[in-house]
Amino acid sequence: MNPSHLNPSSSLKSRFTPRFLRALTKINAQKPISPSSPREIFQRYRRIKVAADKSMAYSVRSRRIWSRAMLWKLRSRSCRQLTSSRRRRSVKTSTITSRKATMKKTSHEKENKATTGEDHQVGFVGQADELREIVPGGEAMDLCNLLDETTHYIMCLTTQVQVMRKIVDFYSL
Amino acid sequence: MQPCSREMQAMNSLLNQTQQIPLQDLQSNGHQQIQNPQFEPTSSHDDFLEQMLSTLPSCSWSDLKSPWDPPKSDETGPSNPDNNVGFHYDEILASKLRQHQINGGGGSSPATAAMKMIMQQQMMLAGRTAAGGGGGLTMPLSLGSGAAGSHHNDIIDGSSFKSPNHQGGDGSVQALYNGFGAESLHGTSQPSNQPQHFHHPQGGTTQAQNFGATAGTVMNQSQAGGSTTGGTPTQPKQRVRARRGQATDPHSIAERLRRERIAERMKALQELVPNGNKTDKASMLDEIIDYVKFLQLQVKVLSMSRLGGAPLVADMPSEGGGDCIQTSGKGGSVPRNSNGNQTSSTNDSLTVTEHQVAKLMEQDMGSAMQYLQGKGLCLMPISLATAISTATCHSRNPMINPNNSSSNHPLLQASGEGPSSPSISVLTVQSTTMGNGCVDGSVKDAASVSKP
Repeated sequence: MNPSHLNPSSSLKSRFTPRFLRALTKINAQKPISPSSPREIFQRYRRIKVAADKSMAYSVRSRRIWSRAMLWKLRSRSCRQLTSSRRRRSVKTSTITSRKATMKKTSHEKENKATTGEDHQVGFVGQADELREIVPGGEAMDLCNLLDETTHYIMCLTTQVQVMRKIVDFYSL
Repeated sequence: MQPCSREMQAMNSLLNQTQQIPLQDLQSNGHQQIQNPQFEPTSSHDDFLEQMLSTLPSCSWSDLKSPWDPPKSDETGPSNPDNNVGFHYDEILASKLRQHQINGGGGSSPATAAMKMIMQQQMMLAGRTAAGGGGGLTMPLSLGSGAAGSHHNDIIDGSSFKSPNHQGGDGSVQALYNGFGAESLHGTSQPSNQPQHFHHPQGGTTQAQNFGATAGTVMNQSQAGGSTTGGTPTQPKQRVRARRGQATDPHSIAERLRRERIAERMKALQELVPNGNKTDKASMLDEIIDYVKFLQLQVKVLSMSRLGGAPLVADMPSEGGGDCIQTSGKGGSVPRNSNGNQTSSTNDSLTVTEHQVAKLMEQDMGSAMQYLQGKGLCLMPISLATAISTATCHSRNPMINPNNSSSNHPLLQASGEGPSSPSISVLTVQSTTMGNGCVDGSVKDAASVSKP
């Protein structure tokens, strides 16, 4: 119905790339170059991955359900990380986040129950649920929107992978 | 006249709202069947006739006739009120008739045939209101033809006219139109017959209405049981005209819309996802799921590659969904990748790796393999390594799989060490490898090329 979402827009790429590069440089500026311990490596990998996802989500803004869900997740995670360091507020924010999580979960469950019936009608038995787990924010979507979001999400993932590959290639030369 | 007209108005309005005429279909079918239904209305709808008759109680026919008998006497009066009443049915049609100056042509059959052709076209234009009256006005055609049995046919025609979903109804609809044309002719040109005609059309309309109700309900796949209320299809709201062979129930319409939207989206997804040539929806969705997982894994792998391979061995196989991906063998060049700093050269880092692996191997082979895997490397017999290197060293981008594009760097850097072959055939099921670095037998002679 919406033809614009079918095109992997170059604008998406142009929005994602500088953000990601900036994030990467920031990360590299922080840590030493060749960390020895696996734990540090893991942390660094994690940071890069989060940066990639974050920059992608920010490039899409809030136009898509999955980007909103991803941003929410990232923010809540960073919130939790902050509060873990500051013990005073940990209780408050953790309760807030947990409450939000439970609310979201219950709403998702409700909607999930509502939508699985329709999924069965259309002919997708358990796959729609699996898709919902994979696509961020997919729990709250009916099948129609879910497919739409999946399409856009796949496009964004492909651009992300392309950009990352190009960066890697560029630096490997 | 007044009660008669009131009731007729009511019925007319009801009938108007229940019209579902696929005019296009009628028009397409019209010209062929123009002649036939006129003379042989029984030909194409015997089965429908039996269906209708079986569902309807036969008593309803006579019951419906009775209410109209008293007002019949009123109709014997001046012809003007009859004309006015008749005008309700075919006001549009009659006006068109008069436009074409049809006078007294009802008697001669060739004239009526020609009339009917013209009337049909006009009927297309006239639309539902005219056709509403036509449901009842087919009676006179049968009266005119003098066949008592054809009464039922025309009623059936009216009912099938109201339920165009019925496939065999087209011929009957033509009969309807023809009858309508004849009736209008009769009505305008033969005032003497009008009382009779009005009696029957009124009875016919109610009958047709009931038939329509039953037909509608039958079409909507509910047992009508000869309902005489006729309220089911005659809801005073705008009904969506259904396409042929499809129900008009709002729920089914919504369902159909939903399914169409889903099908659209699946098609769009099909273009995006490789191997999207599956016709089955379920398998297509499986492909989609796998592809999304694969892309997410690629992102993880790429982000890891910038670090030079993280020993996330435990996570890797579980993430991969079964297919293990060898991360890019950029062990040596990673420092260069991520920040452009010229650190220890490739050889140094690889040597370090080798030492590490050697150490690990002394302790435990498993951990050594895991370490290698984390680095994105694998062990390979020398012979195989050299074979692969000779095979792939020529092209800069050995793309066995078109999805891969970045196997340059391992080639360039690992000229001495070992080939970096995409070796997709060797290592991966899905095409995620950025290129595989292989530690060849300088470290050890063995053995296992890790992974499927």
